[in-house]
Amino acid sequence: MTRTKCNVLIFLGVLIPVLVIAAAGGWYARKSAFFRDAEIIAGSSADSEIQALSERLDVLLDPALEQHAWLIENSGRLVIHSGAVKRWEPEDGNYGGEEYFVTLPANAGAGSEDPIHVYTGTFEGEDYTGSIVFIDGGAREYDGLPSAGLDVILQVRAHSGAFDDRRQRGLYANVMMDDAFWRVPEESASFYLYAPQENCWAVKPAERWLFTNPADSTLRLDPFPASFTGSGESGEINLIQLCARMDFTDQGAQSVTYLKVRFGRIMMIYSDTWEDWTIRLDRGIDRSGHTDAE
Amino acid sequence: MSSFLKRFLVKLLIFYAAATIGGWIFSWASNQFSFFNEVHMQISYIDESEQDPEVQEIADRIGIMLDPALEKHAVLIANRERLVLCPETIVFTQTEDGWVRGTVDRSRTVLSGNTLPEDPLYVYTGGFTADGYDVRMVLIGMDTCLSAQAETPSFELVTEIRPESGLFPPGDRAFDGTLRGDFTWRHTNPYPDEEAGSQVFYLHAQGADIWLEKKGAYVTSEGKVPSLILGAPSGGRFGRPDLIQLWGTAVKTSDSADTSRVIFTLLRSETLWGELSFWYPDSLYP
Repeated sequence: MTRTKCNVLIFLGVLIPVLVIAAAGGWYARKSAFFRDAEIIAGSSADSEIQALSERLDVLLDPALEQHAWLIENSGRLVIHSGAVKRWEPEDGNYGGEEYFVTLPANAGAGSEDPIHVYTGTFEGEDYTGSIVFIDGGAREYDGLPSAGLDVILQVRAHSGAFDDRRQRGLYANVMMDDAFWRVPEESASFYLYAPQENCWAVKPAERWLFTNPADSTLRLDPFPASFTGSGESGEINLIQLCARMDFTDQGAQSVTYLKVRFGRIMMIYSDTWEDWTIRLDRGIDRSGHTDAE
Repeated sequence: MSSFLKRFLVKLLIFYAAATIGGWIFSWASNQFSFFNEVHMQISYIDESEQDPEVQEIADRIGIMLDPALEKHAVLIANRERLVLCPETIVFTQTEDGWVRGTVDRSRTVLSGNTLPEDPLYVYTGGFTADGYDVRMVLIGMDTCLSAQAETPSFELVTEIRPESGLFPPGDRAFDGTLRGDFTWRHTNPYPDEEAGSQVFYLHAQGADIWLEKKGAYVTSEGKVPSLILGAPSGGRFGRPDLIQLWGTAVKTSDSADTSRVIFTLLRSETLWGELSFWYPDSLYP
């Protein structure tokens, strides 16, 4: 072996491990960075009543989480309208994704708090199941006045029991500010990520995504990891939730609000790496002419 | 290093320096040209008025520069008997994301015990400082105005931006305001002539005693605010911009709701900079 060949081999022998270590370090640093502003909360032990409520709403509930705790405490006052969010096919076609609607009474989100009406629905993706829960806990003060709005729980659960680590994923929830707006940063809108093996939650504060059209009010978590690696805990994540408050811009008795949910990555060109679900909230509007697809 | 290589490197540096300077001049000239030759807005140059102590007093109380030579200012000054000033009732807070969120807090003004005019026009003021600018916002109303030949609930929103350094720096930013909720800028109706020029951008140039006025459909500077007003279009006068104002008249688009949320978004270089949101009408507040 010549001296040059020997030098090259020594060089590669040093370079390759350095690159591998650097890549691993970068990967771990990215994972850790995600959990830097996250709070890790141990899940509560399963309670049959809570489990029954979770099944009825089709979202995982845990009293250890602030937004869930309020709902669980008030479970006796809930009037659950299961499957109220229904799929439909617009006659003039749609722009991709699936369309759903829910009909709400005229005073939805604006009345007294008793009883608490809850509207639920599910949507099936290729590898995921989405669930939506609209909670009408009545008007809540905002900037000094009672404001009509709904609490929202949006959940996406992986069919396989874990999110695919090879495909980066993000969750987006968008409303047009002409219709409604998210109470951010005024209230603690949060994303929850759950690892079933460890029974623990990561709570990330939801922030408005500022890259969108200023007409939009979008909450997003993109990308989120497939496991708790880097958080001090371990375990695969099989479920992500957004808990937030949506207030209506038009406080009148009738309004139409579109909530657009995207699960995937925002890309410049069309790609099948995301799934879209659009939910139209008809408040005080009865559209009996719907073509119900289910 | 050979002399040939040295000469080559010197020539290369000179070429890059010339290209950089040329590119900068071209970019500056094209910004200037697009700003002063905007086709979507009606541009005029207006001479600044002599200082009037009465106008100055109103300007000081509201916190923005006023000049009766400007149409929007003149309307406000003409209504001075109706004005009920609520100073510092627009309250801003800095968000963690770097933008500023504002709302109207009427409780900061005690109006009871005061003699109000018969037909009061409430004026809410407030401001924030960010990124080297002093920003003042004034909400005038909430009144009605003629829109689509009908008296429609409306309000006037003014944003004044002053660089803290006194002058706009070179190559600075564009400013735009968008409106969300049950309101729109007063222009989208079947009677465009009636409402032409409801949104106005004013630029004050120090040293030239002149205002540049851009009237149009939207609240926008329509281009990057220049650091220099050129002589020819401004009647042979040069000036250095030290203040801009964005005036917008908002009109209600539907009568479905008695109460609605108004969301005004201020963008700087197409990035969210500030947001003012409040309930309409103000009679809802105690």
